[in-house]
Amino acid sequence: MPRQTSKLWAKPYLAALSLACIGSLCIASADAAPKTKFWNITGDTIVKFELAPAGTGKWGPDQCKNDRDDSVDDDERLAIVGVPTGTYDARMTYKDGSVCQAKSVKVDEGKIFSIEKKDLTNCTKP
Amino acid sequence: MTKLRKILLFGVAVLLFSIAAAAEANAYVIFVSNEKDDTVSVVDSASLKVVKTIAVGHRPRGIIITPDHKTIVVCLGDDGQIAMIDANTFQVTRKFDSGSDPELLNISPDGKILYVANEDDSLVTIMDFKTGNTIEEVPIGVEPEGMAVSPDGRIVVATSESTSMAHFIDTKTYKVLANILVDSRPRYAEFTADGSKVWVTSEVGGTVSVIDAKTYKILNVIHFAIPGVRPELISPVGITFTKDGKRAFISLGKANRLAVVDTSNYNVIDYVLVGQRPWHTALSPDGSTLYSANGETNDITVVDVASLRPTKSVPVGRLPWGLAIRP
Repeated sequence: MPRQTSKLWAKPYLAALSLACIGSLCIASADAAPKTKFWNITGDTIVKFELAPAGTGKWGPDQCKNDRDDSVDDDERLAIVGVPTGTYDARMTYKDGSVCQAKSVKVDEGKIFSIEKKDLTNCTKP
Repeated sequence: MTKLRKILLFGVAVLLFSIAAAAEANAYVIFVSNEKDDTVSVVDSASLKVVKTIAVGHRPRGIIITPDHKTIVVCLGDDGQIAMIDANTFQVTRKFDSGSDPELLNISPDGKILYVANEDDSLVTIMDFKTGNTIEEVPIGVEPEGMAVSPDGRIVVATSESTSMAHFIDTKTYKVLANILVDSRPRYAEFTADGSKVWVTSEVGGTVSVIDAKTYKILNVIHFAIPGVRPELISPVGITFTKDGKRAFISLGKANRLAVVDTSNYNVIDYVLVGQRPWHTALSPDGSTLYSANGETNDITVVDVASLRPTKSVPVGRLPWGLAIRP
């Protein structure tokens, strides 16, 4: 192949290869970034876990869907997705249908936050 | 003061001194892992006071003492490491990478090999105690936790919480010999002193399975019923056998009690009320006293084994998880 032609097809190829490498580095670093996790120390299994910016009542999606069992047991951790650093109210539904809240929970992205039994408030039984 | 009175006073003083000296001589040390405080509390058995709080690393849970009683080894779940603590100076001496999220561990009878349950990776990591090098990784079921070593060191039994199995592993070949289905969410395994049976607690199932260590058959399933306590609160976790092997103490988690089981017929003899959410227990060197780590009351309960009565509560760190005792 003439040298001139080889240089012509090589440039887009090299550009695509560079983009692919950068892309994989981005994915790798995202995977390596610490995950935000909720540590359940409320004493029982939570089957639905929702967060709302403190005081707004605007509940986000059920974070228990991030777990293979769709629940987080006592003393276990749950990955929290799509929640930036801030102060939130948490709403927890338990296996027996009771629902409790915890107010003004500080969430730091990439870190672990916990809720204990003593933090529970406004609990309603089914 | 009359001569007789002086002699009597002297005699009383000598007697009191002797009692104190004997108590001191028999004193031992209890190490308690505090999951939320990232510490290990050191409790003196004579005074029942915390004499030191050791900062160890993040999320300490499983804790053991080496067979030579020189080292405490504790899992640091959030660090992916195990920490070694000098059992006499209470200093952290070394840390090794142990695989992701180590929860519980055990050691071979000769003190040379560590077996670590890696909760995140569904693995048992086998490590050299001296070098900290990983010798082997054995894949098992999902969310490993329990880790029992047979008295002869030939078999390790690991439990997997989500798969609800007890896995028998040959320590020479690292092959999984059997996967035994037990009741839901097995947390802990313990061999009987003669190595013939393995007891496995199922936290959600609310039972203890007794497995024949040679045939892998389930010989018995122990159920618990506590008047006034809802069955779903009965959540067995830790197991400790008495020195003579005749009784087993089972921590019942949310039921806030220890069950006392006659090992000859698997009957429940009694329930001992302790602190809230007892997780694991440990026996004193002479077998007369049992200590229970109670996660929700942040204390340990002292239980007299002969009378099966709790005698005292000792505050430790937050969310106490496990205990190890240095004679």
